[in-house]
Order: sequence, then C-alpha cells, then structure tokens
Amino acid sequence: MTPRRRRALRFELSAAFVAAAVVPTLLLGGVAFGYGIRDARARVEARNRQVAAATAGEVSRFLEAQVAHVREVASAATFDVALRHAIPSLLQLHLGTTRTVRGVLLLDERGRVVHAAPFDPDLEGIDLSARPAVREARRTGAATWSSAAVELQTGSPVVELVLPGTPWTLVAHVDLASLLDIVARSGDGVEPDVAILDRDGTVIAHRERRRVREQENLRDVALVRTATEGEPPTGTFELGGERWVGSVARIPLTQWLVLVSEREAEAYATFATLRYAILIVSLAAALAGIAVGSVYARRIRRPIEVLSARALELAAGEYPAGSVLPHPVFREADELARTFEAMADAVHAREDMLARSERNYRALFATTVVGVARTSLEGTILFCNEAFAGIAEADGPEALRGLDIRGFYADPSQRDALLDEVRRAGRAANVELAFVTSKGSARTLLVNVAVDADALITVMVDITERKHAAEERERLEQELFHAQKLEAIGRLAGGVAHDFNNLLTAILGYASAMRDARLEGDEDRLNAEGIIEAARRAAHLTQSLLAYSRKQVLEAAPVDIAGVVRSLRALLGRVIGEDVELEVRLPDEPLTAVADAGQIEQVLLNLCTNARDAMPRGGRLRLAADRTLLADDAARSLGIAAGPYVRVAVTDSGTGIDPAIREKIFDPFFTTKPAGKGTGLGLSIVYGIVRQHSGHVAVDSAPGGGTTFTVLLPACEARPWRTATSRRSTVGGRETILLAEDEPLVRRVLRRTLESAGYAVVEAADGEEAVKRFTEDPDRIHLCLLDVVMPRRNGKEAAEAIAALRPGTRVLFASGYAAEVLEDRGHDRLGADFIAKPVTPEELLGKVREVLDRA
Amino acid sequence: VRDDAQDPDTARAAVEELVAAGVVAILGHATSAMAEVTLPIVDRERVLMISPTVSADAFEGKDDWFVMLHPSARRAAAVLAEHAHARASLRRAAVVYDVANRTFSESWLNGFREAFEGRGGRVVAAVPFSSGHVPSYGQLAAAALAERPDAILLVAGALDTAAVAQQIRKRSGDVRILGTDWGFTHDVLTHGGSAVEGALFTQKVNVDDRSPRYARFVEAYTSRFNRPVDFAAILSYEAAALLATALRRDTTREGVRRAVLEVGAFEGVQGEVRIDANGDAQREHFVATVRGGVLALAP
Repeated sequence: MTPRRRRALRFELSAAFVAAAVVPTLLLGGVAFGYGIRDARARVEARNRQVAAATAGEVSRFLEAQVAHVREVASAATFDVALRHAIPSLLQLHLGTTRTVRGVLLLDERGRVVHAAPFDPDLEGIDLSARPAVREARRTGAATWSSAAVELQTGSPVVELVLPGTPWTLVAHVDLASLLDIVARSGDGVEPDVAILDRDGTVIAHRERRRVREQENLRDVALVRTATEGEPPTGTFELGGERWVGSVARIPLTQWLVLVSEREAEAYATFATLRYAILIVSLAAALAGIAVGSVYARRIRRPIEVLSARALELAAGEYPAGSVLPHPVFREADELARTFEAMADAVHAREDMLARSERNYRALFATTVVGVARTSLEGTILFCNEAFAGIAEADGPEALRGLDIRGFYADPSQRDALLDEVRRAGRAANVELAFVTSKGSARTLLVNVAVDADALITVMVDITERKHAAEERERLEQELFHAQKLEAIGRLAGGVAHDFNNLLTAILGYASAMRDARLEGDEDRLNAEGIIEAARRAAHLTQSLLAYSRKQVLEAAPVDIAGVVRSLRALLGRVIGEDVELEVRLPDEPLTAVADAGQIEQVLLNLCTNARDAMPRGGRLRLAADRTLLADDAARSLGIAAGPYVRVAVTDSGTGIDPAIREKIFDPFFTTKPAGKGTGLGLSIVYGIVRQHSGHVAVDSAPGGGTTFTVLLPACEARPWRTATSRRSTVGGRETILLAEDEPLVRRVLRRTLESAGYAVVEAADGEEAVKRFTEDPDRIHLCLLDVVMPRRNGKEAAEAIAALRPGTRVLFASGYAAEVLEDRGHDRLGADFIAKPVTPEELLGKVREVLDRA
Repeated sequence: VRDDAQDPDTARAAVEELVAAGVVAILGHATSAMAEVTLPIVDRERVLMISPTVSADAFEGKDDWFVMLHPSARRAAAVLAEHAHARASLRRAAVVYDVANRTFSESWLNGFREAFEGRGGRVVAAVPFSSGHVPSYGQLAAAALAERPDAILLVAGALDTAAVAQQIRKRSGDVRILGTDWGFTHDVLTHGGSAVEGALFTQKVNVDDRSPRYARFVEAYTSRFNRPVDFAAILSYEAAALLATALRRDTTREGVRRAVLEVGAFEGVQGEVRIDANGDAQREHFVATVRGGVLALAP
C-alpha cells in the first residue's frame, strides 16, 4: 500500500484557522439566515394571504352588488305582471343605472328569450335552455354565474348571471371590466401579482390584458389545483421557469380564485443580499485564517526545518558543532532542539564506537589466515575475505562475489551433507572437505559452517600442507621403522661378520691347503673341497645379510648399466632355462650410473631368478633399460632425490603377486617357495643394494598378469670406466708383500696362500708393527696388505704412515667388518683397494695381482 | 407563444417575431385566413409551420413549409354533401359562410356545391357574412331561407353557427341545419340549444370512440382544462406530438421539416395519421348529428 501523502503544516494550520474563523461565521450566518428567511416567508405569505383575501372580498362585494342589482330588476319585472308591456322599458331603465350590467334577457319556462334589453329582435325567441348556467339555476333555484368568456371585440371578460324565477328566468350579461380595475388596485405598486381565475383556472382578470385575452389557463399550477379541490392554500410553485410564492383565496359566490403571487427572487431579495454578505464575510474570515495560519506555520515550521536540515546532516554523517537553534523561538522548540542535540551527541558517540568496532572486526576479517565467506542458503557467495580468495586462488574477494560456492567443492554433494548437518545441529564443525581452487588445484579444507539469519557463514582452514606433512611424516616413520629394522639386522650381521669372516678365511685357507696337498680322487681332497663349499656358502650368507642391511662395502664407480645387462645376457640364458624366452631392449648409448657393478649384477640375477620361479611352465622375460628424469613430486613420493635416473625394468609373464603379500616381498626370509628351495633373501638383497645405491625398486603386478620390477639408479654424466666386474686371475708373483693382520689364524692362512703363489711375505701383528717392518726396508715391500681394524695402530693409520715414508706404495685393505663400521672408523676415504673377508685364496691372489699390475 | 388575435397584421408581426427569435418550427395558426398571410414568411425564412386545424384547398398539394393536420376541407365538404343527399335525402341547400375565414369557407362552399350538385342536389343560395361584423343573425337566416331550401349549411365558428341556427329555427322548424367541424365545439350545443338538435356536422373525431387510448386522452384533457374534448384539442395535441417526434430526430429548421415529412405516419389520438410528401394529413371523415343535446355519429 502506497503511504498517503501528508499535508503540509501550513495547510493544516491554515485549515484549522479557516475552520475556526469560517465555521462560526457560517453557523451564525446560517442560523440568522434560516430564522430570517422563515420570518420573511411568513410575512410574505401573510401579506399575500391578506391581499388575496382583500381582493376576494372586493370581487365578492362587486359580484354581490351585481346580484343585488339584477334581483332588483327581476323583482320589478316579476311583481308588476300587469305592466308586462312596460317590461322592456323597465329593463332599459335599469340598464341605464349601471355600467356593468350590459344586457338583460327574460326567459320563459322553456328557456326561450321573451324580452331582451337592450332590444334585439334576433335574440327574442332563441333557445337558451342548453346553457349550463341556465340549467343549473333552474335546477337549484339559486342565482348562478356562468363561466366567464372574453369578448373578442373588447377583450374584456363577461359573464352571465342567471336568476331563476316565475314566470321569468332572468339572464344578465355582466361586464367584468371592473375586475381589471380591482386587480390593478390590489397590485398597486410593483408586487405582488394578482390574478382572478374562473372555475376552470382560466385567467379572467390580470394587469396584463394579454393573459386575459389569451385565456391563459393556470389550472395545472399546483397551488391552483389544490385550491380548486379544497382549502385555499399558501405555498410556492413553478410557472414560466420561475419559482413563485403565493396564496390563493376563494370567491364563494362564483368559486373563482384570487391568486396572489410574487417571484421568490424578488420576495426574498433581501436574503439573497444577506447570503452574499455571509459569503463575503466567510471569505474574508477564511483569508484572514489563511494569513494567520501561514504566519504561525512559518514560526512553527522554522525550527522544524532547521531540525530537519540538521537531521539530514546527521544522516550524512556530519556532526556540526554548536546549538541547533541559534535564537530561542519558543519553549517547546528550544526543548526539542536541546533533546535533538543530546540525541545527536549520543548518535555520534555510538557511531564512533560502531566504527571502531567495525574497523577491528574488518581488520580481523581481512587479515586472518582463515578463509571466511558469507553465502546465501543456495550457495551464492555474498562476500568473503582475502584469505578465502587466497585459498580459492582467485583474484581477490570481489572476483568471487556472486559465484556458487558449490563449484569449489570437489564433490558438491558434500555441501548438501554439510547443510543437512547445519539444519540438524545448527552448525557443522571441523568437517574435512576436498576443495578445488579456481585454477584447478586440489586442496583439503577444514570447514565450519554456521547459520546467520538467512545466510551461512563458512569458515575454512587450508590443511593441505599439514595433511601432506602428516602423510610424509607417516611415511618417514615407516621408513625409519624399516631402517631401524634393517639397522638391527645389519648390526647383528655386522657384529658377527668380522669374526665370522676371519673364521671363514681361515677355514677356506686351510681347507684349500688341505685340498691342494692331495691328489685328484683322494678322499681327503674331496673332504677338503666339501669344507671349502660349505665355507663359501656361509660366506655368501654373511654377504647377503650385509647386503640387505646395506652394510656391504661398495666398490662404487661410474658404470654403464646397459653394458652390465649385456654382459649378463649369456649367464642369464643359462639361469632361466630354455622354456623362458629372453628379450633384452637396450639403447645404443651408455646408461651411466655410479654403482658397484658386481652388486648390480647380483640385483639383476636375483630379479631374473625370481622371474623364472614365477614362470614354472615357461614364458617370456624381458629386460629393458633406459634413462629417465624424476620430477620433484614423483621423487618425493618415492622417497628419493629428484634428478636423472637409469631405469631397469624386469618383466615376466608369470603368475603375478598376490596384493596381500606385496608389502612383504622385500622383507628378509620372506618366501613363497617350498622349504629348502629359497632362502627368502633374494628380493631383500635387491632392495638393500638398490637403496644403498640411493635408488629405488618398485613392483607392479597383477595376479596372473605378470610382474614388472623397476629399478632406478641415480644417473651420472661421467664416462664409465668399468663396465662389469673383471674376472680375476689366480696367478701369483715374486714380489714382497707386507701382511698386517692381528688375527694369527687368519694371518697364517693368508701368508701361506701368498707364499704358495710365489710371493715373499713380511708379517706384522698390528699396524704399529707393520710400519716398523716397512721402515726397516721400505724398498723391498711392493704391496702392503693391511687388515683395517687392528690394535695399536689401525690399517688406515698404518697406510698413512707408510705413505709418508714412501709415497705411492700400493696398499690393499682387507676387512671382515661391514662398510658402515669402516666408515665410522675413517676408512672410507683411503682411496685404496679393498677386499672383503672372508676371502678365498683365488680371490686374494686375483686381487693382489690386479693391484700389483695396475702400476 | 404569440397571439395572432385573428388579425392579419398581428399574425404577420407575431410570426416575424418568432422567426427572429430563432425558433425551428411554429405550431399554428388556428384558421386558414391567418395561415394565408404568414405562409409567405415561413416559406421565405424556411421555418416549418404545423397547423392543427387549418384546412383549405389553397394549401393542399404544395411542396412548401406548411404542414396541415386537418384533412382537406373540400373532401370533408364532399363527405357531408354525399351524406346530406344520399342519407338525408336533401336536395336544396343554402350556404351561409364566414368570409372572415374566406380561404377555408370558400373551399367548403365550392367543395360542397360540387359534390352536392354532382349528385343531383342544388345549392340554392350562398349567403356570405363576416364574423365580428354581423348586423343581424336574423337577416342572415332570412336570406338563407329565402329560396326555401330543405337544408342550410353553416360554414362558420361555433358561436356563429349556434347563433344562425337559433335564427333559422325561429323561422323554420323543419329545415335541416348542416355544419362543419370548425363550427362544432361544445359551445354550439350550449348556445345552440334545441336549435341545433338534429343538425349534421362533419367530424375528424370519432365521437363514439371507446378505445382506451382515447379514454385516457379525454380524462387527461378534462382534468387539465376542465372542459370537453373537441377536434381542436385532439388536432392540437397531435400537432405538438408530431413536432416533438421530429425534434427528437433533428433540431435544425431543415432537419425538423425533413423529419416531419419522412415520418409518413404516426399514432394519433384515434389511430394512425398519415402525412403525405407535401405535409398534408390524410384522415377519415365522419358525419355526426346532435341528438338530445349530445353529438353522435349520424346513422
């Protein structure tokens, strides 16, 4: 509904003043007018009645006089029967005494004219019995007046008066011209208007002769009609388009009417003037009221306008100092102004407070790292903060206004679930949601939603990084756990390896000596060979444990992995058997990695062996190698450094790996093979070696769909100088070797082996002694074979001392310790050659010869 | 409203006044004599004049600005002549006629003579007089009776008709008195008395009409004027009704005339009244007689 437009104060006040001025004037005037006009009407009517009655009386007297006169004639004619012949003269005589009786007729019993005066032969003998007045007079026996007629020649009304009698009935023609005189007298002056009407309502006397001559009929004038029917009334009527006020009086003798009337406008002319006077006074009062109202309205309006203007300033946020009303106006306005000022101060203070509060909350909203958005229930973003825009990767909050927040949900149905929760509980707290930014990045958010009026407040924290970190931590914890497991195994293996290797070196040495001392086919020789074989397998087991726990000593150098694969091809053919087809795919260029070629051969052999075991009824084995580049993300997910890698893939078409056991296949001693068929160390060795090379091994398999092992090794740009492990020769020599070994049993076996191959041996029981022996004759010693871990002075210190005495002296370290132990003890940077114990005589001699020949 | 006062100069002045006042039509006159002097004015000014009672051969069959509701005087005369000859077996007729209304009365005289003599009767005397200037009605009667007619036709107003009839009856008890509808109003009965008993009058009004429509009209008229209905009342009412009908169609002078002439026929007090293309009414003629002081259709 449209509010009704309010009227202005000036209008209201003016209206009130006008009402106050005009209403009493009108009331007073109205009452005076009402009383006055009633009084005037009464007077006019009284006068009219009076005139009518007077006129009627005068006419009546005139008529009665005529009747009396005519009776006189009649009686004269009647009583003097004897003088009948004198009747015409008598009648003529009487006519001479009156001007109004114009003629007299005497009728006989049949109604025929007997005598006419003045004499007219035409009249005598004619029949007047049909005349209504004659008939009525003869019927009633009373004097009867006929209807009036107008003489065409004179224009005067005439009437017949019939007096019935015996023997004559007398008919007198009466001239009513006298009525015109009566009417003229009655209406002397200007008003009122007097008319005499006959029984039919026809005008028979009036000042205007025309109305008589034309026989104007007023029978349908209401006043006349009622008068002809009964009591002569007074009242108003319409005639000729004007209103008249009149009275009627009856003339009993003839039943004629006297109508006395006056135009209302003229009768009440004074009151018309009075009415105008009242109107003019009212108008003047109204103008005065408007003027006074305007003056007062201005006085009242002025402070209101000032207050209104000040209120507009307030609305615009302006707070001008000083009083609202500079000059006192009137008490109420001044009080209103003071109240207004107090209100303005209060509003100002509250607005300041609100502004501060607004700034605080806005700063909070703008600077918080928590994303906040206000959305409609349908999901339209109404506004949001910078943090939200940052999370959504949008160009600021404005860019998001009007968008549908559901577009950012990875799964929009999640928002419906969220809304259900909000409807149910009034809010949703700490719900983790997948979010997609405007650039398509996936984020994980922690979302809180609350209802605010008809909108939703969504508060969200980006926990993507935290979640990644948690996953990374979990992965690292698993790796740490795995590492600790390996560490434990390695520590155990490493702990026993030294002593065990020394023991095996001795066993191998003595058994080899025993074998070599017997002829072919001798039983002792066969026994010695059995001891050697058992010792070799024990040594292999030790090596495997060390390999898995990455405790081997690597002979790392740039190696062409493609070359390693090629060199293994022939060997692999024998290992996998004839029912397995071997396919090798290699690039032409070298695939260089820093690796221990022997260890890599071991890895590939183990994988191929494993593949063959997965294909008991034959199949296809494919070996492929190439070079690849790992990006940051991919590298991080694999737990290795980003960069170039050499990739070797071993794929079989075998039975595949059950997903349930895939997690465990790299664990040591885990095997699916029947007891005695495998050690359960094959894949764990692969894992250990690859990880020790800072690489990665992955398995991809489906049950029945074959298996692919992918090995990644860090690539390098250096030229490979070793393509594969060299086959060592077992030939001896004549050179002198300084042998330092603190374990006597091992030292004896080593000396025997070297001497049996033709070498001269200088023995030392520890590092100190080794230096001493070298000092005694430095030029004689061609090679120093030093145990790494020795009492008093270890192999490294001894080597340093020897190098100081004679730079360039060849040194070959031997140790049964794991690589880590050696590193801890500072032996990793010797740069010298190394041979791990246990060592067979053939391996020892081959290594010695290799070092001596390198020159 | 203007009064022609049955005076040619007054009539001319009255019509000129009305034309100058801008009236679109005039109802009047009552007599042919007055119509004769003002007809040139209305033709010149092109103001339609509708007369309720004028009837004269001179105005018939003309394409002018004059409409007559009174049927042809000549035909009325013919009807009366035929009745007088055939029904009343009258053969010798005298005619007393008012030359103050010459146009009408001569139409009657000629029409009557032509029809009456055409049937073998004879008009033995034609006695003119001028109403308002009558030295002696007795002499008129005597002049009419001089040739011993068996009927005397009075072409005059009602009072004159009654007066002459009284004089005739004084002199002859059996001569038959004939009158026109102009001559018949209620006055002829009251003033004529026994003298008009048995007289024959032509009538435009069927005095024996018993229709509700006529009864209503009689009641209303009597109530308003307190006098009996006569032909003048009926024809005046019909003239006013015809003009009112025309004014509802058009209010210009030309339009009113066109509307009246196009009406063709309208419902009068006693049935349909036809208006021909020249504005002359065609209606039935009756012959009535006075019997016991009352007018009734003649047998």
